[in-house]
Amino acid sequence: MKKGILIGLVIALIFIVFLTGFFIKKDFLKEPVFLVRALFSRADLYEENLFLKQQNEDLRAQINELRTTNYKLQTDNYLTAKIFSTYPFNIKNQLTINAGEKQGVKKGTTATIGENILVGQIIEVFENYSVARTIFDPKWQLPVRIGEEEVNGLLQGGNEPKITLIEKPVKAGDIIYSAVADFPYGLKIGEISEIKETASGIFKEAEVKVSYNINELREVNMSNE
Amino acid sequence: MRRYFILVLLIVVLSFLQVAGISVFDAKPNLALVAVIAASFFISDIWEGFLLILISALILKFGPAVGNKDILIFSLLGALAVLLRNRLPWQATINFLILIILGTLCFYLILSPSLIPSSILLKEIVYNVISGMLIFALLSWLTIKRKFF
Repeated sequence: MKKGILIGLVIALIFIVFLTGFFIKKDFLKEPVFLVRALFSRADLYEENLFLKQQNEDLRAQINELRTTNYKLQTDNYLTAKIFSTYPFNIKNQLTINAGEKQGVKKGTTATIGENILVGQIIEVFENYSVARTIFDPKWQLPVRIGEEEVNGLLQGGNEPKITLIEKPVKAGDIIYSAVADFPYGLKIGEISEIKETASGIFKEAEVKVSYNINELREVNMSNE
Repeated sequence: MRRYFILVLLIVVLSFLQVAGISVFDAKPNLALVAVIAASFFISDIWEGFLLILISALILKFGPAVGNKDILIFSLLGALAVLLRNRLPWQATINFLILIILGTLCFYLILSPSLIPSSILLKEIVYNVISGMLIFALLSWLTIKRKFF
């Protein structure tokens, strides 16, 4: 291949990649991405199983929310959106969702599975799509409460999220839920799986068990409020 | 020409797999970076390497969650691999492995240094080295069998 052509192509691509807002229409990418993902999982039965597990988990989370808040659950104010893209590297954990400004999504909106399992928060909104940061993002921290005694802790995001600064004894299986003004109180994040002593001995740390695989999620709900 | 076509095909396929967010045991290998570094050992001109990097960058841009900064760092690391591939003093396979490990470390160091001591980085390095060795072996086999030219 002639060097001149190569250099020309390189310059053209630099311009397209870095200096334009070039972006392939989401629907174009959605099907191939799902197809590739389906190749890596036993698609139909697996997805059905996953859906039932998530539904079951959501119902358990609703029960927990009722216990902790006494609020009446509302079921008609959620927008369901498809996930068609995840951030491709390990350094962040973000989802791109096929609903944006036009569909009423706002920055800061909560993204959940069902209505009560917290997945993340919308951080960028575009006309027809938006980007949500998830609890698996290494840079995300969130005040939480744990178990029936409502013990305070701090969720530290990451591929293996953990709870730090746990100030009182907790046990494996205790439910972890959000306790920050940005979100509705009591959204379930996961359960305590393993408790560790810290070097200082004052606070404890715990690993978090979540009921879903973030890479296999297909849709999330967003509050319209 | 056939050689370059195979390299472009490799880059396109692995970059699309990257955009699809394929993960193994909760960690995503950096297949795009691995493909670019592996291909850089089989190019005859640095401009061929730069073009491969930009093709990969273009595909990564399909994922709207990927920012320009991420793509720029990815492209610069790829370009560095293209420039260094023949300048390291060891055998090509060792040079390749060193570039993969250094590339992965630099990617984290620049974009998310807080993850440097984490298990996710270790997992990614292991995946990158394994997938890189497979790709490198495939390309070497094609070259030896003269199926590449």
